[in-house]
Amino acid sequence: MSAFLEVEGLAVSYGPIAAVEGVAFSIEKGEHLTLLGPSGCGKTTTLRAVAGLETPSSGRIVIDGATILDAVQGLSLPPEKRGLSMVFQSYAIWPHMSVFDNVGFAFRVRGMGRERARPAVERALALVDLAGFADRPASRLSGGQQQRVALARAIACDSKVMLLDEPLSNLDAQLRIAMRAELSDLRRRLGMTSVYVTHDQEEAFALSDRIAVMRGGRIEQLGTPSEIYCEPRTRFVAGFLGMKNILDAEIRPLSRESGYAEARLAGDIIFRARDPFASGSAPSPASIGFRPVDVRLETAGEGIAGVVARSLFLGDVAHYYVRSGPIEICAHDRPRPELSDGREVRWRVDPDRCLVLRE
Amino acid sequence: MALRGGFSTETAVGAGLGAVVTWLVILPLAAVAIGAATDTGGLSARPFLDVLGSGRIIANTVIVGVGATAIAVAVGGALALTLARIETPGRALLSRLVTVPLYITPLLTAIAWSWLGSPRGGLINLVCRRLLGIDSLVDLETGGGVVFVSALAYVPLPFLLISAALRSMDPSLEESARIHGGSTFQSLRLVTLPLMLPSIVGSALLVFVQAMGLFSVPAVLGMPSGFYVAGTEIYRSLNNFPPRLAQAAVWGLLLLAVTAGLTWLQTAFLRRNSYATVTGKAFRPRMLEIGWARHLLALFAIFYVAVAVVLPVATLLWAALVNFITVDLDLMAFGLKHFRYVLFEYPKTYLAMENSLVLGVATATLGCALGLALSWSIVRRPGRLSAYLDQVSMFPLAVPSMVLALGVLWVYVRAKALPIYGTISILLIAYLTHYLPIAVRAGSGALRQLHSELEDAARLTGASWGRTIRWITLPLTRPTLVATWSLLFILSVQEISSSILLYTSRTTVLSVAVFDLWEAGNVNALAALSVIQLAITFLALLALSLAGRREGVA
Amino acid sequence: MTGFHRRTLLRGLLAGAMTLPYMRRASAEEQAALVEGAKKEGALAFATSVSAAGFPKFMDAFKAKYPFLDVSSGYYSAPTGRVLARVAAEMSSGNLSFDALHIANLVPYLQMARSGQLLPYHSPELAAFPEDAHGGDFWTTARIIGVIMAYNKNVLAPEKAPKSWLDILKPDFKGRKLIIQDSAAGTSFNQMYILEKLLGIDFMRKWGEQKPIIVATSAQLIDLLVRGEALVGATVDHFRAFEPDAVKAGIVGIYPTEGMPLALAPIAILKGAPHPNAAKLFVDFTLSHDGNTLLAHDIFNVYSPRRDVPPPERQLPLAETKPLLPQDLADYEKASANFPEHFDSIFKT
Repeated sequence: MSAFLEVEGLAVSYGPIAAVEGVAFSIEKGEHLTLLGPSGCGKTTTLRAVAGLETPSSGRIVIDGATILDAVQGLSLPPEKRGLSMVFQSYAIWPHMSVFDNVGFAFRVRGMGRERARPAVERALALVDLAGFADRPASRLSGGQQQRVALARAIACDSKVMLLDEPLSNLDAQLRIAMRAELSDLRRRLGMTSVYVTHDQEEAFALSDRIAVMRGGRIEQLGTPSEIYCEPRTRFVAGFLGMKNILDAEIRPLSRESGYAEARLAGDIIFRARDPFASGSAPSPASIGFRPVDVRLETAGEGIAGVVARSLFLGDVAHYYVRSGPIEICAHDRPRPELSDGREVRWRVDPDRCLVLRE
Repeated sequence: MALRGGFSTETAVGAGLGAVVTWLVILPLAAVAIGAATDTGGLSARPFLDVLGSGRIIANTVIVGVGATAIAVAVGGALALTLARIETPGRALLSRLVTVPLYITPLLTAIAWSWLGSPRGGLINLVCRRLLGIDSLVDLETGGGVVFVSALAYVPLPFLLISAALRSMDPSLEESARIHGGSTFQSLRLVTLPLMLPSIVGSALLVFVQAMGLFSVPAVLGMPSGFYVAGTEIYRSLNNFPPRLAQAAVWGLLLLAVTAGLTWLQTAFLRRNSYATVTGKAFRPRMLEIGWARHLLALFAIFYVAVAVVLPVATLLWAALVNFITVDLDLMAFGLKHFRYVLFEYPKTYLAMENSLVLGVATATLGCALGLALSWSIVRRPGRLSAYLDQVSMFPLAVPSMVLALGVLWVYVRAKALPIYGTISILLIAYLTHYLPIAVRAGSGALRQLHSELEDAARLTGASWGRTIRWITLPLTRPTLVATWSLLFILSVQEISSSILLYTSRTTVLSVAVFDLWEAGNVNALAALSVIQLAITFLALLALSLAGRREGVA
Repeated sequence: MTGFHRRTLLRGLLAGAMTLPYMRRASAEEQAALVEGAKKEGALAFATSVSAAGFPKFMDAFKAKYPFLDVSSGYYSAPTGRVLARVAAEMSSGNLSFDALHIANLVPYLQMARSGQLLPYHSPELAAFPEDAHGGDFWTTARIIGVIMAYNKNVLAPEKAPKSWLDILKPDFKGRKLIIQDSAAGTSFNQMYILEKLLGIDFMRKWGEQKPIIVATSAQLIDLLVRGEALVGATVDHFRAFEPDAVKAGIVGIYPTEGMPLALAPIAILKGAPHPNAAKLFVDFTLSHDGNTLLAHDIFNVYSPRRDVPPPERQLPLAETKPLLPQDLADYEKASANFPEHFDSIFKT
């Protein structure tokens, strides 16, 4: 069974610069995929290529069995023929039209009159909590209202795939969280297939069925939120998803325990860590990563010896930076007054919470 | 208005500016109104009746006004789309060439086209007769010719304004139209065009105001066939014996009423629907793909440049170099004798050049200074005074320059105490008033981009207001100042509408000298002098673009 | 006595309007005083409606005689109406910059003399002029210009050319085939006033219906004829049609059978002139045998009232042209005041 949306070998370049290279993914009907990454990673370019707003130099895109892009054959459908809808970061609400005309635009350009559009428009507006706003001029909407109208517009036209380009990033923090929940709810109710772009990891996790983490124009890892959270494949993905402690180490497989390895760090510190993607039995240089929240700090006892270099009090949580010889790690804990700067401590990490990272 | 604790340099300057602006702008306009209502010997309605009875001339004026505006906006808008939103080949160069007519006075274009397009002896007709056997193919010495040549001269204005609006529109507005099912054409029609309405209407109004009061083109192409418009009537009223001052004033007042009325309407209309698409962000506009048709569009742009710039300039150059006018290739001989005549024998050449250059420098310098001062007051100290300054300094945009000149003439012909009438100062005053809006707009633009915090920081560390302006504001607005100075200089050098009313033998300027030669039927000398005037303009343009590049202005 | 019929007219005017300051000849001392005074003034500002390319030669000759005078900065030439408008505006604002005035229309001189705007000067040269050629000491006719027709023989066959003023009403000349000068030109007024009196207002209206091309100066008119833009020039300063360049280009002048309307071109000094002494020297020069010959004969090929100036070359002597002059000067003056409107009502579309 082929997927609903298939992207293969997509590449987009601006002159000599390759913005997107070798990107491939597929989505099932009703699934929500997020392209996640820092600015400049190519996520927006990928989305726009799917939309038809960028011209890829190579690739193939198929939606619901219909090929909308095939660079080899020179086929590229114009945006209006792809059957998509999109919510822009700036909302792109047309200020000279009413809310009704904005939301019902897709009907208008297909030659269908206002009466044909009305049911869909009103339903969409109701879904985004803007019932009764139909006749308001679009220039008189607040930012949050504009965002809802943009959403309504994308819903009303009953597209195959909905594309969203950082739609929440212009809202203030509280509104963003509220909208996130609504968006998730809406999507599930309507069963919309969607591709979402964001740099916010929390947002991605809250909304997505699967996430593609991108860097430098490529997808580094594609998987469900828990997959990529628990088992990041690369240092970048790990770091991006909160694994702040990434240290170079020499990895030696442990023959007795498959799936685990011994990591020797600088300063002769030895760890045991999970190594789910182990290949070969020879020792090799790599890294290990673990989350600050998984570091256990004690004033004495087992663990690696270290000294509190500095600490940051943040209310519910405190960050402690501990130096052990040549390496420094970060640990998050509840605030502990005894861990003052300069204090000697012992720290350890459960091997299950520690991962070998090779790329 | 911000409280500044009593009298200070600032308050004094503000009051001074108010006085200067009132004197420059309100006084001449009031003079026109008063002059219109007085015949020789007191209040009279006869001039009004005389003018209102000239239905034909009023109709002609409206034809030129509306016709030139419609064509200029249509062509300018099409060029804007072609060069700003379509991958037209050569669009960078074409964008610059298309604006060249701004720097050539329509007088020269009209004269060149009268030689090209006069029904029996026009060069185009002569060539066509010889090659194709068609008798009079074109006849530009008609109302149609006046509209055509005027429109050519005005195209750059809508082009610039609409291009800027196109470039400052968020491309995602069009993109979302495309994604939700709209074709290229539909999204242009339903989204882009309505959002361009303010710039379209704004540029149309600017063109209309100038076209209604146009003098040079109707004088050259219209007068020989008796096609008179308000501008030529003002000129004729003042140049007949006895001069009909009141009638000239009535024509001026009529024009003023129409243009000012429309301007007021426009502000009222546009204020109601604010289509804020300008966010201050720089966008990369989305290019429209139209395939091979873009080559046709390139040809269209090239055709415009050819007809508006290349053909007239080439004709002038040819007429200046050819020993006598003929299209017979065997008889054609070239030489520099006309340049020799103009440069070494014609008595008015050096006087006109000197006056034009002096006026150019004075207008540009004083204009920039005044413009910067006014815009500082308007942008940095919002309040009742600055609102007044803002509005009044924009009045000249709603008034044809000939009417302003008429008002200036009126004010100073009676002010015997001031040594202004008949001197070069009266021309300077007319030029300054005419170009004030440009200087203020440019200054406002520059100051709005310059955050007031930069100045406030200086004040807080103890710099006086004067020092702050000198050390912070002026250096940071220098690129805009340089550009504005050059623009004002170039515009002054080719000014005709005000000059033709206010000059005397001692204060003649280049455009007037050219017009005199035209009236004297001295075709070749006229061509040589025009070429010299064009050369001065282009040198100034070159200097401007070089200086601009150095300052880092795009 | 030259064959010119103004004697009766002007005598009427002189009797009616002006007081004559007593006539006397200037002595050598007065002449020297003039030159001294002119030296101090250092310049002459001359306003004229003459726009011929050759005019600088005249100014140069004057300057050669009095090299200490700057004659070029104050020199102003423009169509009659414009010159008068400027002089009037400057006079009324007390800012007069001109000294001497020479335009091809008599009426302004009559009016200005009456309202005391002219400076009386009895030039020693007046002895050579007939009494009716000058208005007392206020103004003197320096040139006499006739208005005729002209056509380009390369464009119009001679047999088709008009022979009389009435001929220009022929259908052949309808629709931008004739050229006339604008109302601001002095010769326009003279010609049209006389023709209207001679041939009636109907003639004028029909002339208007021919829809002629309207230009500002006769030089422009000839230029258009040369270029073939029109067939016949109907308001041509006679000398223009006989200029060597024009003849070479194919221009032929026509003396209409009804007669040749005359326009007098007087010279006068303006009251309040900034350089009165220089102005007087200039008037002397213009009216002198050498100066007037240079002006009227050499440069312009027009007629002169001065007895000892030869008549223009290649042209008919004045008497044979059937010269026409206004009969009723009061009516003539009144018509001048309304002429711009009258012209517009006939010729403007």
